[in-house]
Amino acid sequence: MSYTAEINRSNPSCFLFLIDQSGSMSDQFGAGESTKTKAEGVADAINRLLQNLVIKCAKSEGVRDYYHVGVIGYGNRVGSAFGGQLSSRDLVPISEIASNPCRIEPRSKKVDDGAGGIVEQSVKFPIWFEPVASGGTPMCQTFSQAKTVLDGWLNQHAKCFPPIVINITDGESTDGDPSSASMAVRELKGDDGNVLLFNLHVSSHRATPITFADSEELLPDQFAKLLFGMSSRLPDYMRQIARQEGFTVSDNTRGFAFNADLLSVIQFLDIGTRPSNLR
Amino acid sequence: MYLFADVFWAPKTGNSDEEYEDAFFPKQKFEGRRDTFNFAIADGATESSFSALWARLLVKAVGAGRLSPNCIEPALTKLKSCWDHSVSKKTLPWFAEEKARFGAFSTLLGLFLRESEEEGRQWEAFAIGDSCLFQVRGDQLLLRFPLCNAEEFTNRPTLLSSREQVGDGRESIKRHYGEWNYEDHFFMMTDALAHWFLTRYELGEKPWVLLQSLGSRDFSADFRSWVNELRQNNSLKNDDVTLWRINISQDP
Repeated sequence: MSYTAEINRSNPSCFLFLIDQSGSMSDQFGAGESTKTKAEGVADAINRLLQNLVIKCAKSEGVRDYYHVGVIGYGNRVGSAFGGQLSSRDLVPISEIASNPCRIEPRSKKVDDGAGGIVEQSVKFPIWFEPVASGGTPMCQTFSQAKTVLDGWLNQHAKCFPPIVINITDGESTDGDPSSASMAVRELKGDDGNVLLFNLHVSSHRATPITFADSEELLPDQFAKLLFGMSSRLPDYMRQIARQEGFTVSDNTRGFAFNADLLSVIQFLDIGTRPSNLR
Repeated sequence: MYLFADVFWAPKTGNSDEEYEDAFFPKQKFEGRRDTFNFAIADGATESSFSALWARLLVKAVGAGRLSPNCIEPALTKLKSCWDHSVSKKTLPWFAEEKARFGAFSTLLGLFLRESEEEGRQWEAFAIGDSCLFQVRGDQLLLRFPLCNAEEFTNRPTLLSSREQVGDGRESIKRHYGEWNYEDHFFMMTDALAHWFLTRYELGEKPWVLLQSLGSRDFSADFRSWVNELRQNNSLKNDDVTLWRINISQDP
């Protein structure tokens, strides 16, 4: 059965993020009162995803390398988007990512006070990526590079839980239709199943955010429909967990979100017992 | 009552002994005559941090009688404060600080054995999560608590949280009680072994016979080798494993 491999330090899995840094990302993001640009939306999404992934792997003694993570930026150029100590590296153990954010911002967060109320708490928010918006959107070239990186990973980690690719973009590819290049990524496989490709569409369109769409009918534009078509169907076990978490899912549900977040995709991955009351 | 109690434990394959996140009370095997005795096991959740510390605090409190079916609320509040004090005095990197904010999580199973002229031979247990208690008399399995079937195990049990928060798990604590006889056997085990136990039982086997032979001359492999063999043939989930085997008799 696929997608059952245990994720541990001797058999780690891998995440590869593809982040759109093209000129069109300087347009306004999303619905209503948002004052963010799409590039700011992307930077926020990737920083939140990385933060969650690091925290998921954190133990009292440090961060365990359950995952290796890569980030390919595409805009003026296509390549590793890591800076500083991690500059130009393709896949990096998660513990090194934890130790090398560019900076850590204080932010406030509303939390349950344990007595039925809400209090504001100061939290630390690490920043690895700043918003960037310049150049074209060479999505075909990006998928081709992702394929090369993942080919190398799978050659060395054939038994791993299959790599997950998360593409965060407004979908406006400038080097052709990325459908076949993305299919080549989804067709990569190890002993435990095919690479999973999820797309997070960051759009200027003022439509309702969607997480885990199961049909393109309700999607607001051709870019959303294109990205939906390029996204992997959720494997059985992810569908089951998505249901438990309150999402409406069907056999056709894909790893696609529209102006929403994909943090759930990370939470769905097991590295051992996860309490049902841990949120 | 005269108790012969043996404890067996093993970390997850790939982890060191220092990374073992279950906990048990007492700290080692026990033999002796007592009117009352408390046993406990706890299984700290892999996806939380400082959970081994939380699990150890819980079993110690049960062992000392500070945390029992009749005294849960005040005891848990004190234990949470103790956990918070231990964690917050450390200087932590950003990720450890964020993770600690969510709290640690653990199962807990406590067994309280009593014998008195007035009340006879009684046991009481309380549990949260999927660590299980089994009582065997002769060749009959009398008790399965709190889970009764292998299919009830999931990767997302409700556990006790070390943080004061809505849904900290205390509302899911289950209680049970009954009587014991001389020559009864109690087994307390964390989820991976409990799942194996119930699976074998559902196949019509008597898995307690094998557990009873652990450490005896009839059982050649040591506990860890046996556990590793089960893991290798996929009969046992790769997880920390803890087992208390408690035999009660009238005399040594």
